[in-house]
Amino acid sequence: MEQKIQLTLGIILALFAASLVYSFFISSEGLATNVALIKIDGEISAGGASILGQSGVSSTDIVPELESAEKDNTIKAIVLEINSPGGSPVASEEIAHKVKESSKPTIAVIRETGASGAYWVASATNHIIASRMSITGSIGVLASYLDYAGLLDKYNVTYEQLISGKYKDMGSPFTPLNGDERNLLQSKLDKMHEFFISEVAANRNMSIDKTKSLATGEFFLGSEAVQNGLVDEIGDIDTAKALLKQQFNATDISFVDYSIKPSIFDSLGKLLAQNSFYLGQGIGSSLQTSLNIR
Amino acid sequence: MGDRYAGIGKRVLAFFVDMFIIDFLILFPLQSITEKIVPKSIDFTSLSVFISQNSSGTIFKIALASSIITVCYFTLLEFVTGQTPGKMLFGIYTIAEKGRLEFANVLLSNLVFLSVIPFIWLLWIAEIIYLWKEPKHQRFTEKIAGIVQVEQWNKKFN
Repeated sequence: MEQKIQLTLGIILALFAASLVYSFFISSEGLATNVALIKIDGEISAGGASILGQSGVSSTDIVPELESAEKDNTIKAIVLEINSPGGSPVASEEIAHKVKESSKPTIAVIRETGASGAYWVASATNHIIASRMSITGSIGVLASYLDYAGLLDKYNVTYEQLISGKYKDMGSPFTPLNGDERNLLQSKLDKMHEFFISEVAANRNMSIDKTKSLATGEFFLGSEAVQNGLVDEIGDIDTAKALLKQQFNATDISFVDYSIKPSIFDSLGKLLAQNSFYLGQGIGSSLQTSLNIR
Repeated sequence: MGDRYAGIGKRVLAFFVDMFIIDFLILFPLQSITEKIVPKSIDFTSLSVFISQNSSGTIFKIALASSIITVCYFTLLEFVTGQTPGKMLFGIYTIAEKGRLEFANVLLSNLVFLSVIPFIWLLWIAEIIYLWKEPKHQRFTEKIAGIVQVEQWNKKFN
């Protein structure tokens, strides 16, 4: 029995030794450096995923992804792959602030578009890379909408205004904007624009005046953005990889996709939303024909 | 007391004891490396993609080494002593159905632990079905290898 136990222990020790030796061998080869890859794809909004599915990205999804990447000690850096025209200023600010809070190196890679709110997010990273033809910049605020007041008048449809607080229905598409309301709305937009400018100036280490001169709402191609200081480098995801390899003296970089995958319910909801849209389109078209609306 | 085929319950418990020894003792150095390179806070799909795209193959090498060590654990212990520590606890012995226990047969019955083989899970399903249905409570690969697990209280190991 004793001999049996000795043999058993001997075999277990030998296997442990083999495991130990091989672990040293693996370590000496060099381990790849993990980098979180977070995609910002589509319009940025503040809401979570709706039951009807959504295209675009929400700060309620991105912020937890950034937090996860920050807490994970196997992740050494964060890359934001941006392909977004922007969107909600609040959501863009939420994401940008979370990026700035990160203690790990952050890089933004702008693909087709990284404009407006998406540029705000990119500006919060340590380094921005864009393609020479990427659309970026567009530092401005937009609140335009269609005014249906004239259309309602044409068909003798009356808008019954019942409000308390004279500005309560300011911006309603069914009533024209008066001068007072227009000035008030414009002042709100100007205030938001100031916030946007000051954030980009701080993030890009630029003077307020210089940032203001670039913040006319104009979009810039990547090649132009490098010249005016809004972007650091022309390139793509491989450029980011090379930069990170150099920074970490790494043998290899492994991108870890942190994007939240849509659940089966999200996918079904999206399908339902699309079918509902086409159904509505069809009904609208029939109504147009029957009511002879041109 | 004569030979009695080892019950499924005891076999499962013995297996858990052996896997505990393998995972927390023997493979500890390799798992320490896995802790450093496998991200913790991603979903299963992203993890699968990460592992499949792991360009240096480190994770695959670790998985392969771990599988080989597991196969060696069961094969060497069962061939040399007739028992693993888990089986010792529950009085289970590995013997040949006919004649002497051969190394090749023991190895064959334990190749099921090579988890890196694609679609190995199909074999695992067959193993479980055979374990359940076979009167001798043999796994599928044990049946092919001519090996059986018995409860022998008084028999000396060879």
